[in-house]
Formats: sequence, C-alpha cells, structure tokens
Amino acid sequence: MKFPLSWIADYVDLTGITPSELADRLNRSGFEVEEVINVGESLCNIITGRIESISKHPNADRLQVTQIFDGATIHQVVTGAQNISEGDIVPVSLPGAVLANGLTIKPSQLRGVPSNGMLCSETELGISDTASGIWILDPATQLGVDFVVEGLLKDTILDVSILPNRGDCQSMLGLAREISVLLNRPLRLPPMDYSVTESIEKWQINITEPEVCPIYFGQRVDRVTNGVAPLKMRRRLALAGIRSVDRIVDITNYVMLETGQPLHAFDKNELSGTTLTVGNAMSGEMAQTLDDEVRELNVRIPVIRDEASVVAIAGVMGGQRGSISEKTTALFLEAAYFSPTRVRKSRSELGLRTESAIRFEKGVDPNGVRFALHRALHLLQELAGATSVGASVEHMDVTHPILAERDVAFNSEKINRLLGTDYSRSDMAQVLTSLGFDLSETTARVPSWRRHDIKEWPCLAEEIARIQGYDPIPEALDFRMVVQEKPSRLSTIATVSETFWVDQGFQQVQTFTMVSPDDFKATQIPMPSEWLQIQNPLTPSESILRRYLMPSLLRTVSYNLKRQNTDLQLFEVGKVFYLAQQGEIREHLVCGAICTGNRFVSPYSEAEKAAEQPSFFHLKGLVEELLSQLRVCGISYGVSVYPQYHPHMSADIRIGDITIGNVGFFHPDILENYDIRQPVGYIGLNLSGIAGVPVVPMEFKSFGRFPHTRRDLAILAPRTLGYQDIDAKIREYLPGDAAHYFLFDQFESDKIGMDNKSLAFGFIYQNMDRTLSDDEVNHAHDEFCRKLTDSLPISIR
Amino acid sequence: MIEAQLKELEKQAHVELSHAAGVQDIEALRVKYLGKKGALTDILKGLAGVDASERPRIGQLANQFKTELSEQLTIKSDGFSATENRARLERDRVDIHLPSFRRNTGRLHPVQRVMREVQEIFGRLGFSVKEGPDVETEHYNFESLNIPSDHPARDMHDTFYLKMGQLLRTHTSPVQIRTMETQRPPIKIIVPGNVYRCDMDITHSPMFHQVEGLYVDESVSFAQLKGTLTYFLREFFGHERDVRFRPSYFPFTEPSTEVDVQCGRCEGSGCASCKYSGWLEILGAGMVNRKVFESVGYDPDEVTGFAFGIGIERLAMLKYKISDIRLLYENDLRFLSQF
Ligand SMILES: [Zn+2]
Repeated sequence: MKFPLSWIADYVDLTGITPSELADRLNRSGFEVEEVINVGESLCNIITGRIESISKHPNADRLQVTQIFDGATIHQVVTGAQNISEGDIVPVSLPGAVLANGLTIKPSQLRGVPSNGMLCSETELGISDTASGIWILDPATQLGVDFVVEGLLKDTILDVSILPNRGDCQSMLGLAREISVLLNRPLRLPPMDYSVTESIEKWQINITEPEVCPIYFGQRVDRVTNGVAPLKMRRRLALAGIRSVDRIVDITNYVMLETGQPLHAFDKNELSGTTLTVGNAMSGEMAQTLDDEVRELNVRIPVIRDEASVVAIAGVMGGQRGSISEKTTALFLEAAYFSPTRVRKSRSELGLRTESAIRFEKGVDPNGVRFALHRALHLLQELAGATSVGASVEHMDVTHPILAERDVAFNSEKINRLLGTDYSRSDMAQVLTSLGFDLSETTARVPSWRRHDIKEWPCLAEEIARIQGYDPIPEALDFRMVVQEKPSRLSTIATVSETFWVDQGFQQVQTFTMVSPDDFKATQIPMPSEWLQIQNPLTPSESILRRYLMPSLLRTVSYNLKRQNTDLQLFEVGKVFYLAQQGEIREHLVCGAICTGNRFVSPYSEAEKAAEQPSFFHLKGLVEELLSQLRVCGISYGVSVYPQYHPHMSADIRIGDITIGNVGFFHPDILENYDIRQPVGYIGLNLSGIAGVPVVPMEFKSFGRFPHTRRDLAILAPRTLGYQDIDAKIREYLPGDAAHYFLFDQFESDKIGMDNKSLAFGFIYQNMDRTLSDDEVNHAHDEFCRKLTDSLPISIR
Repeated sequence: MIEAQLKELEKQAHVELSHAAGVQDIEALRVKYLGKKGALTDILKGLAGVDASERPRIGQLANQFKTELSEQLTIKSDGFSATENRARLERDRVDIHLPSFRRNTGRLHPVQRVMREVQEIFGRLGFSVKEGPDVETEHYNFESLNIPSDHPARDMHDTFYLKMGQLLRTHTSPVQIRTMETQRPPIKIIVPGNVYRCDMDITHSPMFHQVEGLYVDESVSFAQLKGTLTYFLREFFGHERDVRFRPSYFPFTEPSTEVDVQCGRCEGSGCASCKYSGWLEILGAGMVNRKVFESVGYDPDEVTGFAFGIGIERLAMLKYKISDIRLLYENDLRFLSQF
C-alpha cells in the first residue's frame, strides 16, 4: 500500500526524521518498505495564473496566444492546447521552471511569436501519465501561488507491503499509529464532529445472517451537493493510487484510506423502501455491479438488498442501482463490519479484489466502524454542505466473538525465555501500553484493532521484540545435544549413485516432475490416471506427474543436441509417481543415466577414437559397478519388454524376481520423435526398489598366495547358442581348483562359417594351500574340456 | 708359441672390438674369445705342451688378456646400451603441448551442490535429514500448520491441486508435522525436497527446492534461532557478510522473522541486484506457533521450538551469480559444466 508522508504527517509529527530513516525503522519492526518514491522531485517555479485573453496565432492554425495574469503581471504564453477558455485558472511554468521530465522552461519564439512559459497539463507536472489537455483548476484558486506546494505536487511515498496479519495497518491512521509508537510521538486523530437534524422517517436494518454482519451502521444524509472534490483530497487519493470519481465517492474512499474502514454511500432516492437487509444472495440471482458487469450470484455471496432487489455485494462492491451520480442529493451512508472469511470467499468467487474487500478480509477494527462513519459525515458536511438527518440506524450483535474483549496471559519470564532475552517487565509493559494494550498483573487486553491477530502470549513476545527491533536479541548456539538419526538406506543409495555417476563422467541434470502429455506420446507410455494430472497447471507442458524419468532425459538430450552440445552423458536422480490404487499416489526415487556421442573430449589418436562410443556392454558394466558399490548382488538380465528400447539391444535388470531397472539403446522410432538421429544409450534404475533389496555385508575373503597357472580354451559354437547357456555349463563343470575364468575373445567371421562363432576363455587355476603341478592342472583342465564338449554342441579350436 | 698366439688373439680381438656396432656384437665377441668354447680356451689347450717353468707366466698372460678384454668389452657394451636406451626412449617422445585426452566431466547440478552444502552445515549443528512425499494433503500442507482454508495467508501459496484435495506441497513443512506426529521431542531435523508453486518468472520456478529445519525441545529460544541461522548464513556466504533479522509473519510461527544477508555485489551500499536496499532476502523463520504443537498433540506449555525454510535455488543463484532461475532447469550442458 502507498503511504504519502504528507498525509501521515497529519496524524503524527514526522519532523526531524528522513524518509529513509523512517523506512528503516519500519523495515526493522515488520513493515517491509518496498520502495521510497519521490514524487515531483524536480518540479520548481510553477505558479497559478488566470487566462485573461486568448487570440489566434498569426502564423499557425494549431497554436493560440494567451495572456496570463499571475495576480501582479501579465505573461504572454503560446500554447497548442484547445481545452482552455478565457477566465480559466491554470498552472503555468514560467522561465526557469523545471517540469517532471526534467525540461527547463526558457523564453522562446514560437513561429515568430514570443512565449514566456508554458501552460501545464497533469502529465507535465508528473501526476498522471495521460492528460486530455491543460489542467483547469478550481475557479477559487488563488493567483500567483507556488503550485508545487498548492497542488501537492511534491511528496514522498512509502510503498509498504502490509503482512496478512496486519489488516489494521491498511490505512494512514493505522500506519501512523505504528509510527507514533516507533518514534514515541503522540497520535493526532482527525476531527469527526457533525450536526444532525431531526426526522420522522424511520429506517430499518435486517440482518438475516448474523455471522456475516455483526455491526452495521447507517446514516441518512440530505442536501448533498455532488461535484468535484477539493484538489488536496484528489491529490491524496491519486498519490495513494485511487482514482478520483466525484466528491461523495472521493470522501468515502478518503475515509477508507484514512481509517481502514470501507464505507458505502447509496443514493437514498434510488433505493426502494426504508428497510435494508443483509443476507445471502439467492442462487442464480443476478446483480449489476458498479463496474457495469452483470453478475450471477449464489448463496455463498452476502449481499445488501433494499425492498426491491440487491443493491450491493456486501463488503465487495456496490450495485449499479443506488449508486452515486452527479444528480445525487441524499445519501444512505453505510459503515459495517463484514465477516473476513465470507468476504474473502465472495470476492474470490466473483474475482473482485476491491480495496474494500481486501480490507474486510483482513479484518477491520470493530470499534472503528462508528469512528469512520462520523469522520465521513464530518467531511460531507464540511466539503459537500450535507446534513445528517435523524439518528443513525445501528445494529450491533454484542454476542459476536469479534466484539468480545480478549485478554492474553502476560508473563515476562515466559516471554524472556522464548526470546532468549532479559527485558524488564516495565520495558515490556511500556511497549505494550504504547501499542494500545491494557495491562493487568497477569494479562494484557488486546486493543480492538489487533483482535484478528493477537491470540496467544507469544504474540506479545513478538510485539515486544518487534518494536525494539530484533537486533538486540542475542545469538546463541547453546543447544542441548540431540543424537542424529542415521540417514535412510534410500538417501544413502541416492548419494552413492550421484557420486558414482559424477565419477563416471556423467553430468547431473534436474528436470521438473511435472511433464507434458507429449512426453507420454513421444515415448509411447500410456497416459496416467487423472489422479496424477494437475487440475490447475500453469501450462499443459507441466501438467502431469511423471511416471518415468526417461522422457525428461530424452527431452534434455534433444534440447542439448539442438544447441550443438553433441557429446552428452547426463543423469538425474528424481521422483516418479504412480497410482497404487484409486486415490493413492505413490512416489519412487529413481535414477536415469543417458548417453550419446563421444565419451572423451575431442580425441585425436586412433586408439582413443576406437574407445569413443559406449556400447551396450559399457552400459551394462556401469550398472554392475554401481550395484556393486551399493552392495547389491545376484543381478540377472532378461529381455526387455519396453517398446522404447531397441528390441535387440536392451535388457531388464533383475535382482531375484524383482526388476529394478533396465539398460539399453533407444528404439530409433522413439529417438525420431525427439529429432535425435544418433544412438542414445540409457540406464534406468529404481532406487526405491533397490532400497528393498538386502545389503551384502562387506567381508574379507582370503586370496591364494601360491602362483596360479592359466589355461586357455577356444571353442567354436553355433551362433544361436546363447552365452548364458555356455556360461551355465562352464559353471557346472568348472574344476575346484579353477579360481575364476573370463572371456577374452569373441568373434564371428565367414572364415569359421556364417553359422558359427568363436569364443576364447582364460581359466586361472590356483590352490589356496600349495602350488599346483602342471600335470594336476592339465588333468583337471582336459577333463573339464571333455565334459564341456560332451554337453554342448561345440568343438574345441 | 702360445705367447705368440695370445698376442695374435689380442690384436685380432682389438680389431673386431673396434668394428662392433652394438651390444649384440659385444656379447658375440665375449663368447668368441672368452666363452667356454672360445678362442682363449682353445689356445690354453696347448698349455700342456709348454715347459712347466713357463706355465705360470703364460697363465698370467692369459689372465691378463682375459681381464683386459673383459673390461674393454664391458666398457664398450655399457656405451652401446646407453645409446640404445636413449634411442628407445627417443622413440617414446611425445609433444607435451598437444591437448590432453579428457573424459567428459561429470558434475553435480548446482542445486544439488548447494543442497549438499546446506545439509553439511546443519549437520555440524546436529540436524538429521528427514524426507517426505511431494504429493500431500491439505491437512498436512495447510491445516496442521495453522493455515485454515479461509486464511488470507493461503494467498502466499499458489498451490497446484490434484484431484480430491490432494496437492503438490508448497513447502516441506508437512514433513515436520509427520515427524512430530510419530516422535517425541527433542526433534532436530532438516527437510530437503521438491516444492511447488504456481509461479514462473526470472526468480520463480513452478518447482523448486527447499530445506526446512525444525528444532523442538524443552526450552528453545529465539536467540538460538538467531544463533543457528547466523552461523549457517556466515558459513555459506562468508563471515564478512552482515546478517539482519526482520519481523515478519507466517501463520505457523510466532514470533516470525525474515532473514537478510548483506548484498555481496555492493557490500551493502545498494545496487540493482538488491533493489538498492543493500540487503538480500534469504529465508523465513520463527518460533513454532502453539497451534502447530496442538495439532500434533504436543503440549505447547512443555515445549518450544523454532523452524525455518530456505529456498535452495535462491541460494544457488546468489552464490554462483545466476541471474535467471530458468537456467537451472534448462539443463544446457554449457551451463551445467561450469559447476
Ligand atoms: Zn547490492
């Protein structure tokens, strides 16, 4: 909210304190000053003058020559404006004047006619962005006065963001009250006296929804002269960001800004009957609001109605019927307390975030309703010649909780313990009293304007700390020891995985868990249940909770390839979501690693180039190394059923019966959907799944200290014979002294026949207790080879 | 006779030695002259026919020949092998100024780097890590945190909703509630995780990361909150930076505070990046509201506590001088590889 300091100064003396000092004090006491705005800073030498005569410019059709009287002398000013008449009083910038845009006025010749100044519009004076012509002032304006002062053109505005709990400070008086406490200076209230004439006409207020409206005051006002509000009032409204409408409306807005209490003025002659009812609208009921919109109402929206129909959306906006016009001569002026929650719901349903609504929804001062009404009646009498007629109509539901006094416990020891301070009770009492609290030995009575906010004793601690600023509170690290919990297995797995991939040269990425329907389409993943779809997404491309990481990573690869980042090894550890059963969303932590292009930065030697592109077996190796670091064993592979993968270069990764991930190259059709035309490898692992697998304990196994003997075996096998089958037989017949074995060569070639493949294994023979003799090894190895050739369709090469 | 033969042999050996071209030639000469079946052995076979009184002298001559030739062979051989070694090493020579072969670098995402650092700093102060679901209920995300459905504070949270009141958590505070529901004080935890708000511009991302902290015990004070957060901010941003606590409002804390760190760019004198205030807003915190304790079944007269929430992206942006939050989620390698 914007607070012009000249206005605040009406209620609290600001002499001797600069705007930036004040902003700092406010900042440190809980009012964030977003900006200190200096209005009209550069303006000078602008006076008021009367147009004595207007004549045509001899050489230009569009220009006029005016003679301006400033009360002492006449100045000739050439102007292009057309909205002026003789006798108008206007702002004039004389030679030496500086305008809002920094332009300095000098005596000049316009098409041969001397001009000693310039007639000003609101734009040139910096008070509005657009203007329809020269600013014509009130005919009663004095001539020759300094218009920078007279027109309130220069001011400093604090733009303060008022926290949701401080509805009481959404007004000049509210903030002035805070400032008066901070500066320890008295608060001055504006005059609110007015006179009343008798009347026999009786008005009535009906409250059908007591919860909506515990307080309603209404006052009839006669003999109002509408028109334009005084310049000072219009300027203040403008500086605070509210458009001037007419005298009556401006007065209600002015009092709202001044006191924080919204008011509504009905044109009494437009209302039917003498009874107003506050209650809920009927379902389907239509009402035309002040902004000319016809709105459909419902029972959740509280309204004011006269004997004919709805005349206002309670606390939000008035209706078109009963609204103020230039013909208005009599008013029914409303000042009420409307339920914050009901106004909030109603304005959000109607999409009407009015100045009135934002004040009601944060809660107005229940004791300030009458004050605001009287203040408005004072101004109506003073500025619009109005007379209040008859006693005001009053409804006050004293049983409503907002009208109950609230006492909270005041215990200085507890407060000091919570804050970690040692303020004296009297210091605390001084702060609370200045804020309007009424103290007893053990309690503090909350001032009416803070009832929405101060509920328990820690609030008093906050008030005390806030007014002193938080700086004096010490910084302590004197904790009692709390033994830390062990990190979960899942978070350990996540950390180990992240470190692993980084060590393997993979770059971590971070994508949104909300993905696009296109991601599902492009990867042929069925669209998930609507339970996983965001009801109010910002954009369709972030509207569904993802089921897999794969689309996010493919998209990232595609994004980078399009930006000429061609060699990519990326990984992400993140959450995916699925529906366990109707309405029950489960989350898994998964990890995806994706790679394409070269593994090395610009290799230029043949040997390095050869090892460039990762193969399926490199990917498989990464899986096994990671799982081994995670102390997981018993991995097996099965043919992958996922259509996203290349059908012959992909596998599911299993531990026992559980599939914990998959590895392979993408199907070219899938890559095509991402405009990728190079092979892309992928490893997906379900970390939550892995967390459920038992951890293999880390234990030392002794190794043989006697020299080992190696025997090689090269076999010729049918191409169709799978490695899994050969390996199974090797394990079956492997001699006891064969410590381990490995495949060291594998090829297919027409030299050995197109239907064949050649495999060569190395076997390491070693005994834990002695050195094996050649004879022993030969015997065991020959026996093993014989068994192998007997049980498999293979021959030894 | 033998003497002459030895002389002749010596002369011949010298000639051949002078023609030797490498270590192999030397070894061949050693075998030829000094080997078991070599020339010297052949000559000494004739020793039987020599007069016994002459034998010691001849023997001495033979030994002298053997020793001298052996030495010369060794000297020459050493020379040859040194040359050959040099030649072999020469063949290995590389141009040390050629570019290196480097595997593509792998780095943690800057958000994760900061996340780890934040967890590490609070770890030193004894905070354990707790995690919880991204998909939450209104109860855990709002109501139990003293934010009823009609509360104006809900305006501060632009929430993504799923069906039937399920939502994407707007802060990681629900995990604090879940923890308090299942454990008794003392509780000293930090909660890292994804959070979501319907907001998007150069400083807001619809998904971002938070670390929230909670400390509940018999007599936790605002002074301890100040101590903890000041320690954290100084460790994270550097000890020369000032820290400022401003009163603020959150429904789940009372008193509440917003914590600022002195702007690093202008050192507090005011610049565009701190909106000319000299300060950067970093985090929100406060003493846990009694209502929150009541909602988890703690007696608010028995315990007090503090809670805080830190936006990780904001920390990363300030620490690494990143101007647009969207860079963190574009995942352009040219950006990521800088960390
Ligand atoms: Zn700065």
